[in-house]
Amino acid sequence: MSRATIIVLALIAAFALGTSSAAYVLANWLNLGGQRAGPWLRLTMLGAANTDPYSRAFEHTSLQLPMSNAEGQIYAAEFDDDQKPLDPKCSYRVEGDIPAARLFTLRAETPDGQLIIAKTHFQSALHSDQLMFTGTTFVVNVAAFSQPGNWLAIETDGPYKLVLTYYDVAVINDDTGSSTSLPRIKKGSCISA
Amino acid sequence: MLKLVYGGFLALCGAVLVHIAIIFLISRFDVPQTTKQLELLSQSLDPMIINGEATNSVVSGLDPFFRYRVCVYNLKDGAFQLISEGDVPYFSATLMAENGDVLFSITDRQTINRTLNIEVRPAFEQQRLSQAISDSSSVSGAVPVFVSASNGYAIVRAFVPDKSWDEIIEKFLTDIVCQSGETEN
Repeated sequence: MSRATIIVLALIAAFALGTSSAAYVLANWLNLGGQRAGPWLRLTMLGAANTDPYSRAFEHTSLQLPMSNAEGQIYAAEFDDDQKPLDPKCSYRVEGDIPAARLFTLRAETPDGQLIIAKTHFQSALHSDQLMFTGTTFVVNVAAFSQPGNWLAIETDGPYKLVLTYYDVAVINDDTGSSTSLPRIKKGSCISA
Repeated sequence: MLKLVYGGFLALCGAVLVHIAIIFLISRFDVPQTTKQLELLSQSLDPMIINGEATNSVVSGLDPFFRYRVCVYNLKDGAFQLISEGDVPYFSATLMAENGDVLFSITDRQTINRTLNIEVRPAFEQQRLSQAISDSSSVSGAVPVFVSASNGYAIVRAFVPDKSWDEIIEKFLTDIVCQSGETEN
């Protein structure tokens, strides 16, 4: 093989590798560069002026309206506390302390960010003013089948994620960007197919 | 064999350069997708109100308990005013530059009498305006905001606790004054 052929092949490989690695990093940037706390991944990193080039490139390819830390914080979970993917056939207990936020909302989305809406009259998204609290804690049961107490009804056959948004968070810790403890996600019972 | 090692090394070095170049070009020169979509929406919607419950929205990750009013601002036409009236459970506002940077944000708790009234001006006017305000010892009710980006978007988020609030929130968002033009100061 001549030297020129090797150089041409190396350049083609360089272009293919460089392009695919950049595409992979941008598509998975939240998982690679996002802040994790247990099963929760922090999503509010959009719009910061002093952000790194990867986060900025990711922002440029995403379709989300930016929200500042002062307005709120968004977290998403595709896994439970045992790092197992959320299964639509199972129930989950989302349990935590009442956050130091003005209000919070919890909803289910498909992995690509589409809202999952229950066709029944049950609630497929909840906000803090609708919840029943026990002392300083709250529990939301997430399942496709009826649950006692606060029930987030999901209607999907495929994988999904939970999105928790705190609005008007009282105190912000700049090191972590998080000022409040996040709820645990415990797997409950499952129904057979 | 030596030629193959040389080729592999060349490919790896090239891949690193291509990777860095792509990330750099997108982050520095590409217009954010959100900006492109908002620009398209602004041509078809007036006022531009986005329902967080809509599943077919061009913008993703919206909260179903929120409605969003988006206004385009351009400081070349003069100061930009954002004024709201009405009592709603919760609202916040964000100023976003065309490149996606958040320039300013405020929640209803940080406003006076829970009324949004901000006046956006270019950063270079800050000194002149501060002097004018101190000379006249009078200030308008608007909160002055000085930004470096001459055009972008103002996004107002309003919380809808339940369906009974739909009409009130719709009116609150529709009545928001988003206007560019010189103001007295």
